Amino acid sequence: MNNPQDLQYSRSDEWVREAENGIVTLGITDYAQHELGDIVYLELPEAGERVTAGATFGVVESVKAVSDLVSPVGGIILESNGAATVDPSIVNTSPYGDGWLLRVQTDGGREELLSAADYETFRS
Amino acid sequence: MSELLRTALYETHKNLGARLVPFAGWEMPVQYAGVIAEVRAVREGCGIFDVSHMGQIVFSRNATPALNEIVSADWGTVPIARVAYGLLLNENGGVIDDVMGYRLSEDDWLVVVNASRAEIDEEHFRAHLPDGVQSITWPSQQAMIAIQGPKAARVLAPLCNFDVTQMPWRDLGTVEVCGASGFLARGGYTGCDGFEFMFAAADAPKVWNALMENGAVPCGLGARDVLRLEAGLPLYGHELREDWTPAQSGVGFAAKTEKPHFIGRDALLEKGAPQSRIRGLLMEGRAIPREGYRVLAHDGAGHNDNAIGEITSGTMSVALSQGIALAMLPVDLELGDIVDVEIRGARHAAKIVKTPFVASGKK
Repeated sequence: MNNPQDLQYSRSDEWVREAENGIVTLGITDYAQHELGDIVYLELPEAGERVTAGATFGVVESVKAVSDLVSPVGGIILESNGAATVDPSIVNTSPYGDGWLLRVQTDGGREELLSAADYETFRS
Repeated sequence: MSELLRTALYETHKNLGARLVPFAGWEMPVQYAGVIAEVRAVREGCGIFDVSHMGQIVFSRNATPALNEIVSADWGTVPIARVAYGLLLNENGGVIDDVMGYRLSEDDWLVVVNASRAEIDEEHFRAHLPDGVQSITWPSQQAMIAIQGPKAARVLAPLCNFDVTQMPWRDLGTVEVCGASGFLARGGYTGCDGFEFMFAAADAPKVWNALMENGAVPCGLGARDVLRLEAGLPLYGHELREDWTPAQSGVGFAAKTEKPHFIGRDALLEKGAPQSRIRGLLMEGRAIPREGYRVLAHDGAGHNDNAIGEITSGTMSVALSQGIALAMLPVDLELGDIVDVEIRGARHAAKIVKTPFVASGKK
């Protein structure tokens, strides 16, 4: 399992990278992309829309199955990864890099987030 | 909770790193390297599937007329050493299962049935077989491996004591593969050329490993389902159901009502032409149709959201990089017509197309 130390993790297998002023980038973890298998479809909300901590914000589909994306944070979407919706396989190959999903200006509301070590324990 | 059954290849699958899932009471590999890679391996080369979980029943002692009373197709005219498709129907003409019959001799047949229907099928046969006809189910004694793809013959041939490259489609023979004797048939469920080998379970790891050494790629149930859907082939529980007649499910050719009698024949003759039937759909956009999604009449204004049908099977096609589906739809729709598939509350256009979605590569 690959869990970068500088990120935080949710129990629904998303990761959060903090920038300044409460802006975060988020995506799904290496564990999640591996469990999904080949990702072939991604539905993300657009910039300007709201996400709510603990609520579904989109859908990721493998060849065989549909999976909800649950937001670990609440706030306004600054940017949605259009490149990933066009080529969802980058979420498999680079879940923490080019396969990021949303950049969000958080304004309150967070799920409980785990450190890399605690997430690794949770998912072992 | 009863434990899942395992085929003779369970340890082999584990050693290959397969992802194992419950399926019809068995613990089966859904994928190894990944569904997309496995689908491509079959279409471009050779893939192997463990299908030992499927029900295998041998009927003997004058079985032909007895089976012909039960199965919808005309198995009486099937030559010895040939494989034939057939349907088990209920008294209403609805489909209980689709089956493959391997005619071993004048009077002996091996019938392969879906794993999920094995118990029901056995009970159905038992209830309708006359005394004297013997039926024996081979649970774990028999393994079954499907070898599929344009290179299947090349991969298999060096391991056989017989020139399988020349075997006609749907022919059957007793063949030794790596010294393991069994029934080999040319056929399959992927829309590609291929073979199916039924043999003693104890030999399964040896045969599987030899096929891999010759270039066969291990493939799981995930890839198998994408391949059969791309080939437009029906699956029980999806396109075939006890509520639907063969004609509705696109397998009317397998219900030979010219045969004087079989279970369900009278009901089929009484029913008029079906009002709905299974059609192929190709999505226009990126969204993926899935089993159970409603199909609506194409309506740009979105005023009418009454369902006209439903998706019975759907996936992202690996070959086409586009969503494909089979759906039960009104018969008055024509090829090229557009319908709307309802996906998470939004309408997504799809076109009615011919199946198979992907051209057949079989001989």
